Amino acid sequence: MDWAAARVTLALATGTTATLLVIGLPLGYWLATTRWRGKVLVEALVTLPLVLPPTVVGFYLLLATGPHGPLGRAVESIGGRSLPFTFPGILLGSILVNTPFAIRPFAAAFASVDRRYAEAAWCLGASRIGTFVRVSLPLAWPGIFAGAVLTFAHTVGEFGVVLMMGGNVPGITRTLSVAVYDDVQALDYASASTTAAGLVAFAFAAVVVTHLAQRRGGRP
Amino acid sequence: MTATLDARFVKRFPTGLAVAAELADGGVTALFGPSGCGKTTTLRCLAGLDRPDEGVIRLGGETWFDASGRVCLRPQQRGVGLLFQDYALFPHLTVSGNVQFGLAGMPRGERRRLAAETLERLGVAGLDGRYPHQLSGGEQQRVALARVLVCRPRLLLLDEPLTALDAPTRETLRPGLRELLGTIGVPVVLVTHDRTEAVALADHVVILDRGAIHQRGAAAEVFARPSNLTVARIVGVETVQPGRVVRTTDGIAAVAVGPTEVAATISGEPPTDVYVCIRGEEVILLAGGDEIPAVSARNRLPGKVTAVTPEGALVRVRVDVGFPLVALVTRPAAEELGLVPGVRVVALVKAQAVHLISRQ
Repeated sequence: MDWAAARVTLALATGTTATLLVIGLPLGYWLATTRWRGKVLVEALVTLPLVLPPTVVGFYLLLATGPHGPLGRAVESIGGRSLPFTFPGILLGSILVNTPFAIRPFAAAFASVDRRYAEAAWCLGASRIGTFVRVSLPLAWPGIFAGAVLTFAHTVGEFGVVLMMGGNVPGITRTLSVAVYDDVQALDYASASTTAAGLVAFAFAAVVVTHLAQRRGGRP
Repeated sequence: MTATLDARFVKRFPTGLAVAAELADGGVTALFGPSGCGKTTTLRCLAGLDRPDEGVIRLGGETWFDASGRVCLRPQQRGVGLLFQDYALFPHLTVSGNVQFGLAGMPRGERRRLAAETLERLGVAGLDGRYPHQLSGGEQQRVALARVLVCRPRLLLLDEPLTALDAPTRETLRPGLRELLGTIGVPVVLVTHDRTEAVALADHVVILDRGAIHQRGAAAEVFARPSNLTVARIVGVETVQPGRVVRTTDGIAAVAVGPTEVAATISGEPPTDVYVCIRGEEVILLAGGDEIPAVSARNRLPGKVTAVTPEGALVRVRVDVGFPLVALVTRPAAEELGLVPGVRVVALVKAQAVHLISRQ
């Protein structure tokens, strides 16, 4: 087992999940509650990474963040390092690719909470943000938890965008899934099978936890 | 002295239904009508959950909504207490968490004291640690009421406050609710489609149908004297028959209904073509026989029972007295008289209990 790769993978999955919770919870709540007609476009945009090959997302991200891309120039102008082949680079790519895995379950969880609870809270004087924190969030929690676990697990297994954006820098951008690919290329099947088995076990556990969380959410 | 509510507004729906509400009362007002008539929409507009298209809503001297002045206060700014039809207690909070929800910002001790006091007042003390799904329907109703009252609302809105409960619980809670509404000191608007509930709880009744107000007035008056056929149907007057006023003498009109003549008290000159309205509770049935003892009731209508249908504690008896007349009598009375289809009876109705509606 490549422990450096395991550490990178863990950091990437934690960073992705945390960022998507921060961005995704308000966005998911907004999608679940707004009556704005244009929301279908936002929904489509959020879902897009689900149907695009991660290599395509990685390719455009590489162009945008490269020294000649708009994002790359912006980062350089404020004195930042260019993103490709760095950990922040693969984190950005991973966040983009995982958007649907977080926001779609979040929005579904909020949508399943009866609107009357929020209305009751407003009539009792709670602000919109107060209602979100004290009523909607706890009631939607099982679905949110499931979405977060799914995002984490999917990031652990992410390959395409990490390879495009990060290459294969040991200890920095080399994740477990890239390590498996690398080991196979080097004909080191023993090492590849250890890592692969570990990933299968982790993925299975994550899916079980997701289902348990959703089952619990079904009860009063 | 309670603040008065002054609300006149129109809310339109894409389906074409428009709800036009006009309320100007202190005290307890019941919005009464069939489902889909716009009762709940009216409540939601008052609470600030829906926005009317026209009109104004004022409480005391404060404007909550004014279409022309573009004022529309949010629910949080209005201080309304809204009791939802199925109570909408927060399922993730305990009873005390629910009741203290609206008291955020107060010191904890003060919150606890107020919540305990209100629960005690509503007769549901000692449930603090339970979750809503562990409560009976009646307990949920009172906890929800406590959650609303503990915030000292300036306007109380009740959406079918007793409908979600089973009949015995409803009977038990109704008097307590009436007493509470009488002492609360703020205007109350409640929505109901149950006649008993409206009469028992409200001072004024507003009859709504298809988004429009058809009649308003004191509860007992509206139910006994509907002003038109629609209201008579909505409030459920059992007998509504077309008739013709043939003469009037000394404030009593003789009305021909089919082959039968019915006496009705009148005030002023009645129109010729009328509907005769008689509530089922107002009809007394006398066992057969051609001998009718002297009795004060002006209408003594011999006839034959055509149908007998049990209805809760009462029995609905249809008697052909030249027109179909419906009487509501108790079960023991029906047994004593041996009421079955075919039996001959005499129906007694006081002239004051016969209400005339113009048929023009």
